[in-house]
Amino acid sequence: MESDSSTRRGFLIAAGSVALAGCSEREVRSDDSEGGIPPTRLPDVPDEGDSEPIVVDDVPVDIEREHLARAAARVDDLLGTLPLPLGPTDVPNGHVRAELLSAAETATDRLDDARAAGTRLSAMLLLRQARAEARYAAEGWAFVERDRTEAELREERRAAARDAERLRSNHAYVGDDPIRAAVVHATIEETIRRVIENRDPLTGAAPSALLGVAEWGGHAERGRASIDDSRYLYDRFEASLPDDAGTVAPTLEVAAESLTDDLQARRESIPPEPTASGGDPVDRLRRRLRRDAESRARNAPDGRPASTVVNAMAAITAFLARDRLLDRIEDGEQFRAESGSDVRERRSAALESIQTALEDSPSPELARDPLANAARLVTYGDDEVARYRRRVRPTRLDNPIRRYVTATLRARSVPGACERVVETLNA
Amino acid sequence: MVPPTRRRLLRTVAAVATVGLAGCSGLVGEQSGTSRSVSENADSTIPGGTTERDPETLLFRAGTDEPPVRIGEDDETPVRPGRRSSRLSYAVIDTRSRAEQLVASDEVDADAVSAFRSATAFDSETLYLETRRVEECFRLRLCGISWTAKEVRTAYARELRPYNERCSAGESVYESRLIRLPATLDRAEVNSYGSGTDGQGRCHGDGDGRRERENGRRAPENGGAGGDTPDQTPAATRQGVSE
Repeated sequence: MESDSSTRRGFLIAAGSVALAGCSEREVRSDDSEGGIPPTRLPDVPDEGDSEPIVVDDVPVDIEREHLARAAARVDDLLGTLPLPLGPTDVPNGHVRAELLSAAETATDRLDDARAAGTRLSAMLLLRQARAEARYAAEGWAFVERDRTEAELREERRAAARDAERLRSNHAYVGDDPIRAAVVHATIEETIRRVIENRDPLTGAAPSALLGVAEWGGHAERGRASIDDSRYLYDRFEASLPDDAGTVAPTLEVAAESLTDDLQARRESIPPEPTASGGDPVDRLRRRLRRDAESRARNAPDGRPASTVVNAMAAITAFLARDRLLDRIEDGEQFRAESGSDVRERRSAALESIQTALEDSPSPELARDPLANAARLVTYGDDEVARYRRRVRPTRLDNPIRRYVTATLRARSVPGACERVVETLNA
Repeated sequence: MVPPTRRRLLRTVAAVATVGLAGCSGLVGEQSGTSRSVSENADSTIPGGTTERDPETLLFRAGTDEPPVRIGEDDETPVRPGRRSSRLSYAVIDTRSRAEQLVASDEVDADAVSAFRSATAFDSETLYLETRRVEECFRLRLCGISWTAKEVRTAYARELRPYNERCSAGESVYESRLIRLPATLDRAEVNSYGSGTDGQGRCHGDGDGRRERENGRRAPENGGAGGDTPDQTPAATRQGVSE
């Protein structure tokens, strides 16, 4: 078990319990002049890697526990093929053994994460990862025990890609509510796209035949799990529709075209950036938000109407977030912490904005995706803050400040973007 | 404790430690990595220099505190424990008398060193001794060596050893190579050394079947990237040595 002092929180409680008594902001600022911001004045974030987003991905489909339980059972079955604990007599090469054990451990971790996931979709995604990791380990061991070949697994992955092609060509855009349908179909489109486009494992050439087999095992399992989940989501969604539900394809296609035009216009009307003038954190934020908006507008999915609509939601959010940033720059904001409370305030603002945006958006289903992204950004900022156990120079906090501010700007822009997309879909 | 694995770290990045030694002086020396870069392949080529992709090489590998082969002279900088993981040591051996100072540790076949030294014609050839640390579960494959009158540069590919060869993750060993160059170098003139490693096990222009002799034995023929079959019976003769 981890001792209190080994976690940042425990460490800070021990170090700061006396120092904080009666501490006021004035006293903290005087601390700053002595060389940096004390960690006890920074936001009380979880240890690095433990920060959880307050909003996570979801899909308006009633995913049954049984479906998730089947995926979890598959993970257990795969891990059950391993002679755990895997020892030197099983796999003498310690590096190879560590790779297999690490995958098995990650599979178990993802299984636990899935049980604690905030939404059923998150659980589904985590179980997909768990399956891939478990299969990696299982096939690595199958290489030793049963001479498993890479060719067999490559063929399994190709079969998954063929299934994905079939699913794509047979994809009927059923639905009654175009907003709900857009979110569900976009989730399925994206899952299928990955199976079709990611033909090879992302890791590149494996360093050995055994690890090559393991890698392809994981990749084949990810493909298979993606197909299972896509089919399940589609069937489950279809089953939830009334008998007279028709197609939303024309609605999605018209909306996709209109939103693509809208984004094109926004992209063309964005004025050139002024030459660097506002100092580092300001310029960096401005550059990043502009790049984000432009790349989202430029990379609109082609031929996938539901994804185009959902992507447009994120892209419009990015343009509006940039506008908000420019307003704040004009007001003279520097986006650099002068005290611990500046960081705390920025973080609180981000969390509140995300929560409020989910409540204020005309469609929480549509709003969820960009808000889940903003919430992830907050956790990245938390991870950066969590690294500091000693006094920290304000400039070192530029990154977490930027992440909190970006999350806030995006979250506050979500209701407006959502309104625009809903209007288009209902037009 | 299981050390961080490739999968835990960035999966796609082949980390290549490139040691930029330009300007290093000294005839025997060692150098820690001064910069890290990422590249597809480590390339040993020096523009305008001579490059040998398959030099006559004797490889010694040992999990000991000292390099398996070293120059036993006073001015050699000892390899300091604790900082050795990124250490590189190198020496140009341009005379027979200097070659006589080669010291083999107890774990290696000293006769192989003697034979290699004896077979070197120092009026037309030079020996280059280079020692690297490598994780025990990996081995280095020499991709090539390049030289000019003032500079020597080597390139390696780091390969995972077969799964059924016992080794510990996180431990490291020495690999010392005696390389015979078909040229006369003056060690007083050579003032720059470099070495790069491709973390994905590939040599620039890979596809050859080069092999080295390990501890006086030939390294496994199937030991290229992807080899998971254990070493074959060592060959009795050295490859490609001109007597």
